[in-house]
Amino acid sequence: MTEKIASEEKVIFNLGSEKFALGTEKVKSIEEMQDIIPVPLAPPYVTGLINLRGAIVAVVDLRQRLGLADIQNGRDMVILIVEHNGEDVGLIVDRVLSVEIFEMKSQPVPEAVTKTKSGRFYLSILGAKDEKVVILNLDKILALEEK
Amino acid sequence: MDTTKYRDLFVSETREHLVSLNRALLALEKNPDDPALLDEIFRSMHTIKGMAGSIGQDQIAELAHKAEDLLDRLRKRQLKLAQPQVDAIFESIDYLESAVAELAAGRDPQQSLKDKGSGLSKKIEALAVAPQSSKTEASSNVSGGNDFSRINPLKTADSFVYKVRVLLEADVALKSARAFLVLHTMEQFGKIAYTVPERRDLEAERFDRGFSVFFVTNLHSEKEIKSRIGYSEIEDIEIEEVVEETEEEAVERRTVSAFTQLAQERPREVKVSTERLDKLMNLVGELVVWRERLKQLAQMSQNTLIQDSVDQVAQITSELQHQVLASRLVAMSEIFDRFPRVVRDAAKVLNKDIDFKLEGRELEMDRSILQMLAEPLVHLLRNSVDHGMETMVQREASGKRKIGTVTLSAQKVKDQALITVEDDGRGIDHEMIKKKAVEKGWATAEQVSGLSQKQAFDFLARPGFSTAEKVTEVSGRGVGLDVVKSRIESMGGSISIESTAGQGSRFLLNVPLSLAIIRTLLVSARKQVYALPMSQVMETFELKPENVRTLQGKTAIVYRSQAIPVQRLSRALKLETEEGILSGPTVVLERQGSFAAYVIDRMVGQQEIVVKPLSRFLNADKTFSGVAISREGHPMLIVDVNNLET
Repeated sequence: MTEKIASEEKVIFNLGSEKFALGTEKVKSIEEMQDIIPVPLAPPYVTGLINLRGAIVAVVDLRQRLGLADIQNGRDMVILIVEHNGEDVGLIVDRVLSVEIFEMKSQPVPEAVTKTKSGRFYLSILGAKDEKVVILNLDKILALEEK
Repeated sequence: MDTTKYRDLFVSETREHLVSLNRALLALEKNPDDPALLDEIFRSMHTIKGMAGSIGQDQIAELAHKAEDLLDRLRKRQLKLAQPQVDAIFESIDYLESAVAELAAGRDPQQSLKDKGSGLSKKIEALAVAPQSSKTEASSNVSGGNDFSRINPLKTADSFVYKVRVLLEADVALKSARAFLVLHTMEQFGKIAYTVPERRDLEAERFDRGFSVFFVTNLHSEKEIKSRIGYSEIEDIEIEEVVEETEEEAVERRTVSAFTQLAQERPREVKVSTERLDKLMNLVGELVVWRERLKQLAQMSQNTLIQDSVDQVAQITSELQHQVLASRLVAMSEIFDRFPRVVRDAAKVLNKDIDFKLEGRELEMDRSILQMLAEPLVHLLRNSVDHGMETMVQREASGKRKIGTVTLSAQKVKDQALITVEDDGRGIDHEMIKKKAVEKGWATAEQVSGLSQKQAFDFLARPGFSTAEKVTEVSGRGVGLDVVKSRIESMGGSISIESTAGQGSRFLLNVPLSLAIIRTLLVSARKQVYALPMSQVMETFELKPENVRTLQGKTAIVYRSQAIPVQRLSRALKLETEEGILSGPTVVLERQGSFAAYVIDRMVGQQEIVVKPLSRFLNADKTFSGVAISREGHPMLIVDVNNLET
């Protein structure tokens, strides 16, 4: 993996206390938390379905998908609507922090991290220790896993 | 001039032409002497050339122009049609396809593609060089520009210039005579500058049904001109006054006219984006939900005035729903016409000779369902050509016709489309499948020996099954029937396989024709509402604990004098594991001939719902066939009764 300059616009959000990011071009809208209808027999990380202005969208609990600790944040939770393979999917995140343009080098994910449960969903890392932002690999997160 | 607004139109129009080009060229390859096919190909190329030129895609226009020249020579029999020329035209079609794909993505074709294009242009130009005919006809200028050098000499101070477009009726017996009469009549009250096509072409009947006359007259009433020309055997006359324009205006108008000309050919159709159709469908879906809600309220109000109005609204809603569904229908030919090329190319790579037959091109089905079908069908066709069909040598050795036959057909069976892909190839050896299933550890030798042929074929659609000995370019690797199967099932369809070893195979796909609106019974389990298709609900009743028996460790009740399994719906959906005492509201569901009963929390009501496909995340197990929106506006899952645990 080579270093590259990331000068794209990112949506920065929290999962727990950690910061994560997705390119704004991937995020179609940010929706308020709403009633999610659970789906029996669905994979555990799929919270359920919402009615988004007449279209029915599956919602993924991003925290559970990344295998992060289950700390309910509650109030500030929102649903990011992303498009993947022609389908809209919702991602629950704890809080949206900002939309920022980054003009710095993103670093590859250290190999040790890629082997952790959540690390395999990381694309690259922006910034230094304290202000670290992990850019997520949407394709991996939304890939279907063989049962 | 800003040409981007025409770009999308160019892309969609050109794609349509490319589909018909492919079809006509394939047919021409088989019937090289059919002049109508050459004409059709020529016309499509000509149109593409015109459109490309008008939006400044010179490279595309150039190639189309060279191809058009070549076709023109073939048409005029100055050249004899041979394989290199057919291949070159196929190559140009491929080139045009990739160039259009670039444009569709909002990019200009890349340099490498451009190089390929100009290489191809030269190649075609070389192919077009042939024994020169004595007469080199100046290509008639049909670019749409009005030739004022021919109009101006006829103009006087008080004359007006009109372009009169005449469309003859479809079944006019003597077109040239009719055209002559029209021109003759017009000359009684004005002067004809020129016509498009040219007069000699009109006289030689070298036109379809329409022609334009550039006409100078002292009359200044379009109505008057129309009535003087008369209506005998004429379907339509359009008249517009022509004014000499600046160069800039000329360019702009030429661009527009290339497209309006196209539009005039099909005045009854309007292009609507699929996105808009989907939105319409969603809205109608919501409307249907609210209609049901309104009906309920009206009933409660006991006010006949309100009830009558609601009835009216309900009727209109039903009709609207019907019309929206109908507007989404497109003919199978939309995707079918791409397949002859797929089969031809696959056969060519494998050095097989295949007679490909298409049946049922005209069958109409919902656009989104049709789009989902394309990929599985390509896969099945390639499979047939690659694995199903023997080599020519093998076919001869087994006493078969050297040319193999692959047939793709579509027909309507009840509310569904039955699509079959059939070949007369080597067939599928079900014993070999059984052997392989044992090898894979899917079943024991004992188990498979008792399986029917049909059951053996089910192994074919399992992930990881592949009988091809070697990987070929045509079928690729790794993608098997399992993908086809899951795709078809996600559309609410089914697939079955029939085959006789040595004689051929048949893949049968059953898919819905349109997005379903179904009547459902709504029931609740664990506070969630689920929809059960009314067609599979046999009965609802209140279950008493004393009627439940236990047979071989499973709970059952007697229904129509047979024991049928009974359990809580919430348990079948894995929402709970404890059984407890079975009693309360119960539904009996029919599933492919057998029955099963489910105890629910309560009956919620009946509702007509528009079935929407389930997200692919939730498609993995087949417990639900789709999803809909409840009266309260929440997503509501539709239970696939056939796959519900008993």
